[in-house]
Amino acid sequence: MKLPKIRELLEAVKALVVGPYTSRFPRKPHVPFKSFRGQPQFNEDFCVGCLACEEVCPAGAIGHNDAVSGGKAVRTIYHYTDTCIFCGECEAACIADHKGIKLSTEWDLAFFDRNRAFESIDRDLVTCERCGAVVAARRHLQWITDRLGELAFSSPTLYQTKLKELGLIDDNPAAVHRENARSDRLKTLCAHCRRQTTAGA
Amino acid sequence: MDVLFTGLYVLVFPGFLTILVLGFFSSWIERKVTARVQYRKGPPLLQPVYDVVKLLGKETILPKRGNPFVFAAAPLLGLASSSIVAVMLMIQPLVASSFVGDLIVVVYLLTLPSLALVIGGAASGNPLASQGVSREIKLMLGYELPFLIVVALAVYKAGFRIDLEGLSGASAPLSVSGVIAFIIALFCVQAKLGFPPFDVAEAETEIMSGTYIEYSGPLLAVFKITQAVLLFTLPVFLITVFWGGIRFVGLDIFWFALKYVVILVLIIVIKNTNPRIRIDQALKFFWGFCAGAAAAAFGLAVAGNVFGIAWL
Amino acid sequence: MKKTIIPIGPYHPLQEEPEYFTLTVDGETVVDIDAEIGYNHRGIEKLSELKNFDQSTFVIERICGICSTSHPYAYVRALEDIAGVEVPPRARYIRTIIAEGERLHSHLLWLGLAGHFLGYNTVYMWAWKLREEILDVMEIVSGNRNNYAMFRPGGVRRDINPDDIPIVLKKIKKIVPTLTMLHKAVRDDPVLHARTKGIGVLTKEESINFSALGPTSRASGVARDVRKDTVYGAYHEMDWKMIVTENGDVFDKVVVRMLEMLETIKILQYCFTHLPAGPIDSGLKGIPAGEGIGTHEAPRGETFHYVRSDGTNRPVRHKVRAPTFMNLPTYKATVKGSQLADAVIILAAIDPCYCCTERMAIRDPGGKRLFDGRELVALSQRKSKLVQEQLGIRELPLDALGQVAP
Repeated sequence: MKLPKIRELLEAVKALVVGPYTSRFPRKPHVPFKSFRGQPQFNEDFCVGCLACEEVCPAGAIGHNDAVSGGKAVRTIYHYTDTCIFCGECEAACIADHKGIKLSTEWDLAFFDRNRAFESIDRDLVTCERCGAVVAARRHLQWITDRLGELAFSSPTLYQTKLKELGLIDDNPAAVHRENARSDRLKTLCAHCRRQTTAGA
Repeated sequence: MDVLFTGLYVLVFPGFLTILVLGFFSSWIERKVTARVQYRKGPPLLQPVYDVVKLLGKETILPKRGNPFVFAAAPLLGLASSSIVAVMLMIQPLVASSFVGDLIVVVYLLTLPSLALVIGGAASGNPLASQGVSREIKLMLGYELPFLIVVALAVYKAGFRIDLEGLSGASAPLSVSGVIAFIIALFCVQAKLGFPPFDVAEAETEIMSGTYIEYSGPLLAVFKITQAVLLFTLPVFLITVFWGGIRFVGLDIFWFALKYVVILVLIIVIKNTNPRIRIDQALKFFWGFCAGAAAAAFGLAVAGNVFGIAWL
Repeated sequence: MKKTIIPIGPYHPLQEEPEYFTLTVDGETVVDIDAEIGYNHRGIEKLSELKNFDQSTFVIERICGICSTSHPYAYVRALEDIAGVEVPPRARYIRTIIAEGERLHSHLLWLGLAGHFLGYNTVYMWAWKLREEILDVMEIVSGNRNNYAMFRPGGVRRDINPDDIPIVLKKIKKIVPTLTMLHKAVRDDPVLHARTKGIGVLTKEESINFSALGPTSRASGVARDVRKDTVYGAYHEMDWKMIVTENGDVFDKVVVRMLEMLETIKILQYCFTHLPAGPIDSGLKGIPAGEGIGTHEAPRGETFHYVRSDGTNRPVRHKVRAPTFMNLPTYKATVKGSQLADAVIILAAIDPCYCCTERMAIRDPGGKRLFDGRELVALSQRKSKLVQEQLGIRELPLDALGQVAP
């Protein structure tokens, strides 16, 4: 049936009765849906510092910096809010049960200073006892050890990290020796030194 | 004392200041209802004032290629004419006096805001503005014809009185021809206000606000004020001529307010339930349908008068 | 009468994107139209070649904010064409849901904008209010209102939570009455008829000659729809109608889109209620050398992607053709001879998406175009050769490409 303009008028009246569709936003905070993909956040308890998230991030929004000072090596992983596209790849790639970095429903991410638009997490690093280079994050090595079970004892780097965590050893007694000799094989080594001590010596 | 009172009448009540306040209020109602129809929240009460104040504080930019003097004078012409009409319409019921032929003055002055738009647009030297100007002129030619016919009809019904006092006493709406005349006058008012579906001259999405394109700052503010004043004046004009007039005594004030609100709501509803029509369609509509219907209404009125049938 | 040139763009309240049209106007009649693109070129194809196959989907997604699923869909289909993998049924259904949800919100967006261009701001607001519901659905399903990040080569990235389905279905159902009201209102409104009927007519022959796509061609009576013509997604597993009308004017384009929205709602409801169980990803590891094409019926028409892989983890060449690129030239047939006031709605009637369409243009400071497409290709080939010589890279032998697309 032809009803020109009648439907629009009814809808208009309905609109007047129902009231605005817009939310009272600043006064009533917006609550996104549970599945909303918001700001990814590091989890202090789960992140192992493996950098898988940095590897997969399509926008390059995750970076890291390894700082060695005074015998203590720390890896700081940054997540830049302004570059992030909230795709969730970091969470999907996270080796720590997808819990090390997780998308939150946090959406209110406006900021004034772009240089401060990041969040970071610090992870302890294990350094090579021969050359001082970074091997991996301590938690990462522990995670590998746990995964490997008894097979981990084939690698001094792994089992020594594990033993230190368990409090069974304080320092590697072999670490003080400074020669390219058999004792090196029992040290916590980076990949390069491992190659040299095993094949080169 | 007379001078003082006259000054007060013209400038404060019911003159310019009151008209300004009522105009802003009408403009707010229009925007608020529009917003609510569109499921939006709408602006706060003082938003039209904020807009104007903001514009007044801005720089005036005069076009290089146009005529700056005419460009600046045009909006003032529009504001002056629309305010004078408003004062004339409001003062008449207050002091219960009007002079013979003031209706003609009012009708004449009501065309001036549109003319001001035409002059200002033409003086801005912008090609889009010239498009808008050509459209505005065509539109004026369109709606003035049926508008004059229906005003003439009201004059005829009131017994050839061409003063506002005489017209406001007549009971035009209580007849078929009166209702038709009122509806057609409403369409013409819609066009005079430049509201959809007749906003062809400023068509934002086609010619970027057309005649207004070069206006900024205080001059644009003056146009905004003119529009607000017109939004108040034109419904009052309709009430005076077609709907029993205005009286500022007792319950009549309430009736006046009610009539005013009804007309305003009608204008807003038409505005919000129609797309913009093309200028040729607008001309066809006014010259064809509206002029025809107005002439028919006139015929009905004459017949009613001749045969003594009051409801015609 | 003197001919005036009315510029539309590069920045114009009519358009949300930078695009430049020169309308030559005789009085109120448009006698000629010229379109210029290239204001918003972002080098997406090159960016895509710099990312690996998995990451590229996110770049491709950002070709267009509105068809943020059409491009990844066509892209992953191109990759699946190279790798020859089967997508699991659940993933196909989820893909269909995302694609159709996008169609729904895109058409609603267009409807609102069309209303706005006609000065009918109430329809603008109503349509966009309706669009909020479908955007909420998309937020529940995918986690975002746009840029759904759901597609991956071989499957989808996220599963749909079964608990969400009743909420989503309720929201979709809420759209239907208002949509039907709007459709009937459009059908009956005499003022709207006056503005859109017989305006900007694209005849069937012109539509075929210009290779118009999507609703633009379907409104002209060309019954082509990738969803019907090829077997992909879940489209062939349910019953839905391809909307085809005959007149090709603006009104028919409105009607085609309005009816398509109702069909889309049917498809969405079917998909949500018949969502099969199973895996959502085929576990595609690596793309072999070869070339593949992928198509998808975007809201604006067929999106076409060509990808060439050399067996590494990045595309060697990625070519995107957005539907607007094919629909844009139809202006030559539709806008010429129309009224200036109508030109606006005719320009909008193909639902143009300019940033999808962007191509590079090199100009001198005076604005004169220095290179045309062919010269640009020659230029880039020369550059590639130069780079190859400098880096000592040999050209890829053609037989290393493996299978060749038909």
